[in-house]
Amino acid sequence: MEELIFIILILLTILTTFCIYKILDKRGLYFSLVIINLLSYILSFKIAYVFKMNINLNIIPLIGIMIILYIINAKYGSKENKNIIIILLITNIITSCSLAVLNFFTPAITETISINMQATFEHNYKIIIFYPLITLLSELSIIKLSQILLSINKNILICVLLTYIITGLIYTLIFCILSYISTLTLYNSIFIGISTYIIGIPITLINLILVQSIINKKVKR
Amino acid sequence: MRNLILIFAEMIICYISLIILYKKYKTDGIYVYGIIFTFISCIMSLKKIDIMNVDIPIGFATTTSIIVGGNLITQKRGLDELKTYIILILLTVLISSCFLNLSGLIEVSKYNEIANKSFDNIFKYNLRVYIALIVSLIGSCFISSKIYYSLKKLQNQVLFCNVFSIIIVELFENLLFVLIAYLFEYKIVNLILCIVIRYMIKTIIGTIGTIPIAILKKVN
Repeated sequence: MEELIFIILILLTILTTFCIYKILDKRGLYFSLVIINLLSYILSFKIAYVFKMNINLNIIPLIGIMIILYIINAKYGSKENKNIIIILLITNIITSCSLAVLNFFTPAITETISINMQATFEHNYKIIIFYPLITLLSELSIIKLSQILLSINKNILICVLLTYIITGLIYTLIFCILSYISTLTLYNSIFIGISTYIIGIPITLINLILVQSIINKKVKR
Repeated sequence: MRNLILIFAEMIICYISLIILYKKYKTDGIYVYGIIFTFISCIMSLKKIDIMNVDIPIGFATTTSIIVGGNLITQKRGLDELKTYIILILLTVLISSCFLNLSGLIEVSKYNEIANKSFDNIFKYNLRVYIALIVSLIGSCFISSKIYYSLKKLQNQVLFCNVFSIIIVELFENLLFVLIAYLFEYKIVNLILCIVIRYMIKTIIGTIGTIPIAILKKVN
């Protein structure tokens, strides 16, 4: 059952990007980038047990972000990169501030969700601090690497996969080590980081369907 | 007192974000603003605080500022651009509620188990709140902009248009949200008190929302 839901979430990410792109074209890609980035932020608070592996759930939308960055780069060139980075950074900072404010509210006594929120957001406060920074670094590295790879090899599918193989490992490891620095042992953090990285490879392959369909649209025209 | 200060802080974050995003990205900035704060209100509206012995869901400033954002679009671009804003809000609520509910159904890892289980408990079985949020946000955004546009044709004054549209639409928004989310769950007295208190707080926040609209009116 868990595996099925996991696959549904991957397909939902692709569907989201595709639908908003169909409705609003270029602007749709930017808006879907913001939505998927927000999903990635919230899902980073959960470690799930899927396919007998312990993984951070934010890997699903995170690969979606990488794919959209690639599509924007391939279709519209690199002039929009600065805007994208700033917009995502603003999004993450606003979300961090809002989650911090949310945590400080004194909850009603009869309420149980507030206790759960406290256990999720307050317990994992390091994610609120580190997520915007690590995502910013990750996006910068994806954009730089994509420019280099696209200038060497025109096959976008190989470029996307190579980018994930290079940047994915660094991102997942740094994120897991910093986010669970005093919550889990270093060994367990690295273990979760590597599991997350490994599961990211098939997710990237599934997501490449989206790249193909959107890039092919240009050829048909 | 602490909660009141935090509501004020929430409002400041909302309106500063609106100003920054509009100054940097114009209309697209308001769309991004709508997406961010719709998503945040999906989480915020699940938490309740105690005001006068009544449990009241928070997210006062986030939801009100989304309506103010709709008014700003109407002020700057007219009613045509509002369609995209509403579509984006609808898509954001639908996608985020699907994602958050589904992710809550996946088995948790034994690492950091308490936090993982808490995550599941936040987002499971909150369908009523999400439906209430969708209906009240979209309905109020649409009606508020219509009222704002009609008032703007009568008298092109930001204060007059914004305050009147907020006063009318907040009543509608609170009635819809509270009735859909909490009818049969609260006692009738508490339900009425919840509507009245939310209406008062949100109307004040919405009225203060005139300031960012007035500031951004001058920006071309």
